[in-house]
This record gives sequence, C-alpha cells and structure tokens, in this order.
Amino acid sequence: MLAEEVNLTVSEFVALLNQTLEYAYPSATITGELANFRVSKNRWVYFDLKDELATVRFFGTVYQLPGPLEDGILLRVRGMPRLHPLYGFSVSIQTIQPAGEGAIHRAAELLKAKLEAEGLFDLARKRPLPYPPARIGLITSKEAAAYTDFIKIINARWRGLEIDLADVQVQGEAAPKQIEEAIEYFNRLAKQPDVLVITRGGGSGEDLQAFDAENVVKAVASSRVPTLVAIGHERDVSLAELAADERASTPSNAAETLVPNRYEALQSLAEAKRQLSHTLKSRIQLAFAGLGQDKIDLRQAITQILTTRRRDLSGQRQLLLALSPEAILGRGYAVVRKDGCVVRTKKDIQTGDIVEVQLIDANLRASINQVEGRDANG
Amino acid sequence: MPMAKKSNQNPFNYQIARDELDTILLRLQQEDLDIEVATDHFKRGQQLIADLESYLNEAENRIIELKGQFDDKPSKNKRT
Repeated sequence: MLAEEVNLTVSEFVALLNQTLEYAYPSATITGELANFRVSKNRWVYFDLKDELATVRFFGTVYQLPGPLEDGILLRVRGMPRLHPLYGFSVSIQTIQPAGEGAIHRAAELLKAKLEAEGLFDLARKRPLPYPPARIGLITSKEAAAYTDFIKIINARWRGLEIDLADVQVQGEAAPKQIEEAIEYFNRLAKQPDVLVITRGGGSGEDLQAFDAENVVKAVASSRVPTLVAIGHERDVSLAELAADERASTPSNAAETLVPNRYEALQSLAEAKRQLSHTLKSRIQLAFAGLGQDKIDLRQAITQILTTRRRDLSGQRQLLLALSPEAILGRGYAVVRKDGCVVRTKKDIQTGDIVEVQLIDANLRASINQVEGRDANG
Repeated sequence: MPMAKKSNQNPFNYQIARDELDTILLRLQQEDLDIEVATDHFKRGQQLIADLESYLNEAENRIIELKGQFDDKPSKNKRT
C-alpha cells in the first residue's frame, strides 16, 4: 500500500521532515571516522563522520570537543539530526567521545601534547600535600570498589579525619562534567578541604577516558585545593594524573600516600616521651654540676678572704706587741709607783718616800734620797 | 599553656601539635636553657604527647556525603 502523496512547499517539507525526525529520532548516536574537521571563528565546529559507504555532516561548538581531534580518528557522536532550511542535512552535536582504544589513545596523545605545551604538567606547578590532612574532599563513585578500598585503608591508618564525599559517575558520557563540577564545588567553598582526592579503579581505555577529558584535566590543574588523582590501572598514566599535584597507582595507594601509619606515629610519640624525660634529666644533672662548681668557687673565695684577713691580723698583732707595756719595759724603761700609784712627775714624789720600781723581770723597793727636776726635752 | 580545645571552633590539629612537640624537644637540647624554662617546656611536652596519643587512639574518621548531583549545572567559571 503506498503512502498518501503529499504536495508541500520546500519550507513545509523541511518543517515536516524535522518534526518527523524529532519525533522518531530526537537523538541518535553515530560512530564513524572523522573527516573534514574544521573550526570556524574559534567557536563553531564542523566535521563529517564517514564509513565505507556514507558520510554524515555534524555541527557543534568548540565547548563540546573532548580535546584536540584529527581526521581519521574514530568518534562516537550523539546528536539531533535535522534538515537545515538553507544548509541541508546535519546532526547537531550533543556529545563527542573518541571510540575504540586506538582513537581514545590517539585523542589523549593529541590533548597531552597541547596541554603540555601550555605548561599544565610542569613539575614546578606541583604542590606538596598536607601530611596528614585534616579534611579530605573525595570525588569518586560511592558504588565503586575504589571508594570502599580507599575508606578501608584510610580508617586503618589514621584517625580524626573529615571526608567530604562527592558521589559522581567515574565513567560514561556524564562522567567528565560531573567530575569537573565536583572539583569546582570544593574550590568554591569558603572553607576548602586540605586536599582533593579523585579516584577510581582500573578499567578499559573507554572506561577511563573521563580522566583524559580536557575539562577534567583543566579543572584538576586549576584547582586551588591541592589534588591527588589515583586511577587504578596498569598501563598509561591519565592526563588528570599528570596535571595533579600528586598521583597514586590505586585508591588504596592513595590512602597510603595521604596519611601516615598511626602505629608508627604512636611509636614515634613513645620515643619522643623517652627523649623528653632523658633531656630534662640531663638538663637537671647539668644544673647540679654547675652548682658543684659554684660550691668550689665559693670555697676558694672564702679561703682567699680568710688568708688575707689572717695576714692582716698577724700584722696587727705584731704592732700590738710592739706597743705593749711589757715590750717598753724590755727596752730598759721602768715603772715607778708610790702607794700603788704610778709616779709620773716630780710633784708626785719627795725625798724620803718609799717607792716600788717595776722592771721587765723584777720589782724593787727603794727610798728616794734626792729629787732633781729637769726640763722634759732635756 | 592550656590544652587545645577539641571543639568545632578550634579543632585539635595533629600536625600543629606535633610540630610544637618537635620544637620543644629541640629547645630542651640547648645547654644554656634556664632550668625553670626547661621544666615548663617539659610539662608542655608531656601535655602534647598525651593529647596526640589520645587523638590517635580515640578520634574517629567522619564521612559526610554531599547532597545533590554534580551534573547539568552550567559551569560558572570561564572555560580556558
């Protein structure tokens, strides 16, 4: 049975076809080899996807590109087919991804060269991670083994952490945008975490390609919060890992890199305790030793003082002896007394008096026969 | 010097406490340190060690899941 014939103007036909396409195929995913890739005014992107028998034109913006592309690469593009009233049939791009391991690898190589030239992977840009951090921003899928492994190791190794989890897709079409948004979210916080950890487990090149997406790599590179990216795989390092401040080989290794082993930390504290006691004990012993030396110095000082004083005392004794009455008698002088009183002048004595005369070694009794006065200076 | 308070306003920071302890151990090795000052450092060192050991043995890790999905939100940052 033939379809009813319709007689339409050109515009009506275009409108009808677009309505039909929108109803039947609002979105289609097409895989083919990239050809005639070009960018216009640094904004609009035009290319074809082709296979052995056909070619389809695509149209979009540079913001939709996963990275640099070159003709020949295999792409998977989701878009809206439509018939443009002036420019003919094309597919309006919604998402673009390299398809197949080869294409993914090639696309990553092209992007790596571009970003390397921009300096995103320079070693000078790398910042040390706080060790240990107090607060971690964790960007991963809560359903993934990577999350479980990371948390298990972190809990075994360290305590007192705050871990803020951003649950995102880590593969598939939505992954790059979600990972980028999560990084930007943490960077917008008034109180940012000490480190961002972006992690997932191993997988195929296609599973991991979100971590080679340009928007993700640039978000990691421009993060003000230091970043650690751990993509568990055995082959190439992803571009996000190259852009990060630090990388780890697996989610478990990421946890080991971030925090110390608390048992080792406890042992270190035990050693610090021993060192503290030992150092104070030594300090006290040193202080006592200092006191002992002070005691010796004091004793020496006192001895010196005593010696000097003894010497002075001896001199004074000599002087005292020299000035004593006994010493004067020894020089030939005598003391005359009358009735017990010392006779000093002629007024104290007269002829016929009985006097006692004290010599150095004897006492005499004498009587005065004559008193002759004389001049004191004569 | 009072122990660092474990509160939301002033949470205990392991690394800061550990750095202070290392500084005290270094200063105690100075022979010309006054004995009274050395004793004060010793007491502070003992307190820090007790705090650090308590943190390592008793503190728990907290996991907070952020609300909302990180998709379909236009990026506010200019794409470079």
